Amino acid sequence: MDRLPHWLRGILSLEAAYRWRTLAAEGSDAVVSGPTALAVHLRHRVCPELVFADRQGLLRDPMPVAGLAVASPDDILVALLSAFATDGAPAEQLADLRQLELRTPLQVEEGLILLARVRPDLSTERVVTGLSAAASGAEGEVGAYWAQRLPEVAASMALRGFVRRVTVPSQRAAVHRPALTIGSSGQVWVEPHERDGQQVAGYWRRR
Amino acid sequence: MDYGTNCCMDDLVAFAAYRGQMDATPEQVARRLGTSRRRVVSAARRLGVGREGIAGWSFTAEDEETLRAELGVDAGGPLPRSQMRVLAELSLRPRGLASARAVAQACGLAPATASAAVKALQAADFVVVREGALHANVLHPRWVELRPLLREVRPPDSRGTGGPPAGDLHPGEEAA
Repeated sequence: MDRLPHWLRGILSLEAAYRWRTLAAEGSDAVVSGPTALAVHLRHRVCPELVFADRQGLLRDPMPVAGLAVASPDDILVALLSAFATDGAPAEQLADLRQLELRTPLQVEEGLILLARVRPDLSTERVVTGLSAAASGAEGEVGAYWAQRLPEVAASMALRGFVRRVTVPSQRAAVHRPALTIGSSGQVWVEPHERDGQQVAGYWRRR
Repeated sequence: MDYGTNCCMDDLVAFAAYRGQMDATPEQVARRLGTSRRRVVSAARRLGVGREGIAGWSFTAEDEETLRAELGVDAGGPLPRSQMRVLAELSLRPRGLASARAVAQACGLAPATASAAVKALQAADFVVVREGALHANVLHPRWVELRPLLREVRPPDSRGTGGPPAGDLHPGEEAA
């Protein structure tokens, strides 16, 4: 069995890391999902167990990590939100959801759109109600965050009207920002493509 | 580092930037808000923010926040600004928006601009109509590429409070 990368060992308990190595050695096609997959993407906390999902219901292609497939952030968000519709989700999921919003461009509202595509049988209102119920019992910075954030989510459910969103800071991802001061004249957008076997992200270049 | 009388200009600039006390130029603010210098200066005159000295305009962090609230933030990207605003708003509406007029109100755009943007986005399959409402097609192949840019977009805070918004985007002003 190959050793796990150092950073992956840092976010898994001993038992979970051993199970990961075993499954990877067996060539398992299981897809790691839920809080475990989120910890793999964000590396924000230690996960005591591995959570798996069905490959059939995934929205986007999973990412291979140390021999196992890991679900995309979109699928993780859908899995986290659907937990709030069924029964009392653990408090860690609320904290995970907050981290997902703060560290990635994903937000609960977009997760609800994705959830409606994957699980049309699941009521969006029920998810928001479950989220509110869980947030009412949360304390500390997680509770304070959701106390500010949930009114925005509720307002976003309306079919018309302006929603003032201030809770989630604007994402400052490592994307190239063209000099809009001088307009985009003289620059053209180059689509993401493959060059010499390597993926190249989209970028602006001069004509 | 010695910031005494012998320090050079670069050191002073670096020190001021480190302390977060350096004022921004209109070009810097325009770049951060994704707009033009002309709109920034025009809004600054209208709102009475910023300082116009011999070297030109300068803006503190508070001034910049006021301008951000007035003008919003446009992130740029492969689509015109109005379309980016519409997509950004629709991606945060789980039930979609009822009409192009509702899109205009939610995004802080002129109705004609919003209508043209919705039509273009529908033609590109970025926007779909489901259950009588306009929805963002979050499963579009290019969605993951656009998402980080969409999250930087912020409509002006003054939108939705009534009255015609200033500094609006019009069809002729759209980015290429």
